[in-house]
Amino acid sequence: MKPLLRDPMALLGLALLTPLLLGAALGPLMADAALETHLEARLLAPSAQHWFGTDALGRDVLARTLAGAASTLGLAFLVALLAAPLGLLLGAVAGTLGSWAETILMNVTDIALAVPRLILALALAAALGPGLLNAAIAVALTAWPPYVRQARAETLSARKADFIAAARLCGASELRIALVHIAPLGLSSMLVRLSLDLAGIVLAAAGLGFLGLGAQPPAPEWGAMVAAGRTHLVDAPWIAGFPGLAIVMAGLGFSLLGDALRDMLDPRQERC
Amino acid sequence: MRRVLTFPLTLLALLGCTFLFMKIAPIDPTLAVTGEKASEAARLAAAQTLGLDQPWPVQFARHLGRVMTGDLGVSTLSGQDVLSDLALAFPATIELALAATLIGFGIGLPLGVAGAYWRGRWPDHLARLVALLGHSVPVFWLGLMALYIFYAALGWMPGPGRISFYLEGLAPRISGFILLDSLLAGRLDIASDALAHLVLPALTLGLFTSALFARTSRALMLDALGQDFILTARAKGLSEGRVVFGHALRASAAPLATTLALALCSLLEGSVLTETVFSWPGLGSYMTGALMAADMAAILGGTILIGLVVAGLNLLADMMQRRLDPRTA
Repeated sequence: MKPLLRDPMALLGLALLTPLLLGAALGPLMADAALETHLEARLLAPSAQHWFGTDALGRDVLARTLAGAASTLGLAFLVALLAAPLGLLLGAVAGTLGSWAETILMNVTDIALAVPRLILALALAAALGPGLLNAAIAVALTAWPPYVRQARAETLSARKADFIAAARLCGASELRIALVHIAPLGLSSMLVRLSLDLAGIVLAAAGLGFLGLGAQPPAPEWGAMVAAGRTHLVDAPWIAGFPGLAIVMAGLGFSLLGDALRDMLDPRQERC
Repeated sequence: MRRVLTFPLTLLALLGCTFLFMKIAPIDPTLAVTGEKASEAARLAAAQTLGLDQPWPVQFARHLGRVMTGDLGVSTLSGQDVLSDLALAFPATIELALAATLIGFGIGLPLGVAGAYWRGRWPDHLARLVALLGHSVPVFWLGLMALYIFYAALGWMPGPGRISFYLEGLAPRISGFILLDSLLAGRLDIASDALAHLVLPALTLGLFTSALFARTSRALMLDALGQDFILTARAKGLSEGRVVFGHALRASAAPLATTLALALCSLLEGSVLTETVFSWPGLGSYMTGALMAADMAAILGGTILIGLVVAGLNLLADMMQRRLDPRTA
């Protein structure tokens, strides 16, 4: 086990994520600059005054990219917060209770795993109507099944353990055993899986934004900004280019950090 | 046997989801029939003809019956049957997905095998870099940047779309696959134009497939190369080529078949974004177009079709796995 901060790849991941997290933290301060339109300064190329250039309404692309960090990263964290604990709890309950409850839960999970994720999220977001929260719900509802599988697999090895038998002898209910004694055991592998998943969640969230299902204009969101840059791709490629680079930075940062975190917390797994 | 049962259950779940989405969508289906200014009585009558006054289970059973008989409703956007719309759009998506799979398999598999064989050397770093990029770069942005560089800036490639506009409709529509149709009609000019249009979207999608293949085949080969039977094969004097391709790769064949099916599934999903970027007239463009117009019948029809194909591919992968790896049978 090596410390996270000695791993060069983890440091690189952190270096990529830091400006984005700063942007997300400072986003509210940028909100005015991100929405301010200057029709006399439309489609300006990157310069000393506008580092990332300006978009079709003369808004500063740098300010919008920084302000957009809050919505894209916030959406990803919201999904993580919803889907991963739900999966962990369901898996722990399924593994502890056993018998028919386990059969039903695991079959539902298998079926949910087989349903195409992005398509379902898209249909759901279309049904709920566009919006940041609805997009988060749509991605979260399609993201939980792998966590159930993993948590149940962890539970199977623990449910015959002595301390579980002891808890049962003390009169703990099955649900209490599942939630209080078993679920925490799966926490570290849930975090590892989550950190590896975050890149994919960011991409899915940005994809929904690109399709117009995330935050609504004029609010800045990376996927939607890339979509808005499509019409000016030839004469002003920076409008789509820089927010896209921010997505790439987030994706790379989370992937690198996730790999490093897995190496640290779960050395059994082969690095690949 | 259990898997065979999963297939209809998955379809049932999928139809349940689409039915639920239809119900929670804030779109009143009677409006499409009666128009905005209809009286309350006319709306109620329309609801009755549409069966909306029935309890939910009855409505769901009817929905099930309609879908089973191929009636996916009428698209409000195109005014056509959703099923015939899908039949028009699907070949374009298959064309793109197959091309991307070929590219992904052709690049990813050799990369993964080389990465595992020369572990820790430059082929390994390359394989891991490709896998990392496939994990972190959004497909829609990569497609746009490819269009900007190779079409707008360099002019090496044709622009978005499936075929140049002046050739549109010149090839007879036989199978719906433009490449095949134009070759059958003997129009090499159309075929080469369609092929040129296919290059950028297929390469964009193909990068993600090659990342998947590179990652999976590298992990599988690393595992296989460390097994005792490889030591035996080497000890009995087989050439390295035979050891790697005849023994280690053969042992990885079954999980690779599963990966292939998985790749096709993710390609169907990736096509939604890629087709939008490249204005490729396939299933993805159809669904995003329907999305903009709140055309629920078209969106759900596309969801059902993709879900059906994905579930079918999963089943196929499972059967292939049994075929290739007798231990799991």
